[in-house]
Amino acid sequence: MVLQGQAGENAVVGRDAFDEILARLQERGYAVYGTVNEKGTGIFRPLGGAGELSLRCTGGTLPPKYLWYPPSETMFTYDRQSGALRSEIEPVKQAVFGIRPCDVHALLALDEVFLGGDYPDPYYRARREDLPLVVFNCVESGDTCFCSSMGTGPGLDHDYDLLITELDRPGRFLLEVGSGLGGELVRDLRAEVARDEDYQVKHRRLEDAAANARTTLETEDLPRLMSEGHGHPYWREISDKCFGCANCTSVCPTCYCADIFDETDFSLTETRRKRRWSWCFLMEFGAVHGGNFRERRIDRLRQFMQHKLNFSVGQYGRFHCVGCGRCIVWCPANIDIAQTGRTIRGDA
Amino acid sequence: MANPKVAFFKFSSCAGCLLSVLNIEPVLLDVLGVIDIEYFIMAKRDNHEGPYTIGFIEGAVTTPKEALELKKIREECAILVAFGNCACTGGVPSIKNWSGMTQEQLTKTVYAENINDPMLTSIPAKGIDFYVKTDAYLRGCAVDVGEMVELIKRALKGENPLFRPHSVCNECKLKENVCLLVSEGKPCMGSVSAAGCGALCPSLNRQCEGCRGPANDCNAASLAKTFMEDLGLSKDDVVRKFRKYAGNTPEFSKGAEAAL
Repeated sequence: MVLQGQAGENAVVGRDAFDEILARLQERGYAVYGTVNEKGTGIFRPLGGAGELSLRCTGGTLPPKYLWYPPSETMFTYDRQSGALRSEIEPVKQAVFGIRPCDVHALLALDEVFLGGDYPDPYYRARREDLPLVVFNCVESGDTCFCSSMGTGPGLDHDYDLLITELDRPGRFLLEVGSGLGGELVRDLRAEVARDEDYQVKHRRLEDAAANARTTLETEDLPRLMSEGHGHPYWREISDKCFGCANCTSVCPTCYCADIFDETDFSLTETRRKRRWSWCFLMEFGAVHGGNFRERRIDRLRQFMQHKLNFSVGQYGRFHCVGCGRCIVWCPANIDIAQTGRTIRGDA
Repeated sequence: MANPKVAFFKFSSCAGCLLSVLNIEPVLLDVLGVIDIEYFIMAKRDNHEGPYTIGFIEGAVTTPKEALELKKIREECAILVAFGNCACTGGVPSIKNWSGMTQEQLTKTVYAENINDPMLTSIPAKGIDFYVKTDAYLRGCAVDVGEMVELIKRALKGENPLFRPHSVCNECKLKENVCLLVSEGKPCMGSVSAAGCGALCPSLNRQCEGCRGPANDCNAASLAKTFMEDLGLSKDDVVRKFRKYAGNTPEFSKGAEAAL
């Protein structure tokens, strides 16, 4: 068959289709990012060819968040003599090839933070509005993944341009088209017709991936239980282990806080107002009166976890933990947010 | 408006931080356009007495004579900056503080046996804030001259520099380095050491040695336990690690004490 390029279409394709999709994204002027295997983990890098893509989900170091929310950016420049303000917000054309369902959910959480409410963030919007997502469903769970507990994976059924699920034979993928742009990326591509069996394989593989998750967390009633467990002795236990490095927050795909500051050149005429990532775990965070309100490490560690597993639900109606497991992987003190949730709720 | 007068002083140290000042060619002319260097013995012949707007001090205080000089310099400088790890914490010279040797034994070990020069009267090595009020700290062995330039710019505007004394890990993660401690089991001290270096060593696949001293509110004792229990480092190695660059600080003292 030949794909028509309509939203809602589906087909079975081989890996060669990835090259075509990537080429079409690049032709349309997108800088395309995907996970590349480097030093034993998957790292989001600009893709040259689709052959560089890693199909195994490894979590990686930084989530792709930095593509729509850069670690540091200039908001505007200010001429101290004339008083003129200059803000150049240009639309950014980027695409992610092989983003995972958990990271899509993290992106949707950030959308609510930056674009919801009365004051949408123009910097975020400039990077978000034109952001094609080619999503890979996860057919196996990593050691620290608990997306199936958080309801953010291993499969996705919304907010994708193209959705790709690896079927039972290597090199066979179920391709589902989720948008008009997704359709353009595959129009006229030769493919096999997707049969019921292919869908059965997809669902079985996703069910298996969820069932085989080695990390789990029951979320039923979790916010209330976390609130009740604010004084649980386990917080002391983990904060005694915690080195205080803040790796957990620096790799979190939903942490959105920033520090805003001015940078001036030597002539002291031009000032750039910038913002850069910051997090509640840092002592210098929110130093409005000269220091962090949460001076003790136990309070900052607890704030991070409570925000993800509890407060975010009251704030935004969804968990800001998407179960990606990065904070667990990169914690040098082996502190585990899922284990913490289980312990506080009494499931240990 | 006259440019602020700046002075560079040196106590007990290797002079590497002062030397790195001379390596800022890309911005050297910009810097010299906005400050007047009045005193910098390593760099110029023509030096002037104070008072100065900003005084940068390299080196630890290790003799009574240095302590007296420091107090005089403090009076001459509106802003006094500890310039580099030795001036911040006592640094590498402070390793001798835990040698367990008397002053006489130390002198005999380091110098010829019969020397009895008052110049060599040595006291425990300390950072300058042990003796005088210190307004700012430029950490590292050697300092990051980018931070020095930032501090000068901020001082010109009458602002505090926005250094972020969080752990090296934060900068290392932004560089997408794979963690040396978690993935490779190397005894990296980045998780408890102050950032600002751009995670220089881990980015070159070398573990952080903590040359910028402790990150704020770090838990060195827990890291020391990890070094011993999970990585199999000996007690002596762990103690040496936490006393190499910042053994005088309460934070790294706890790391060393946890191993003892």
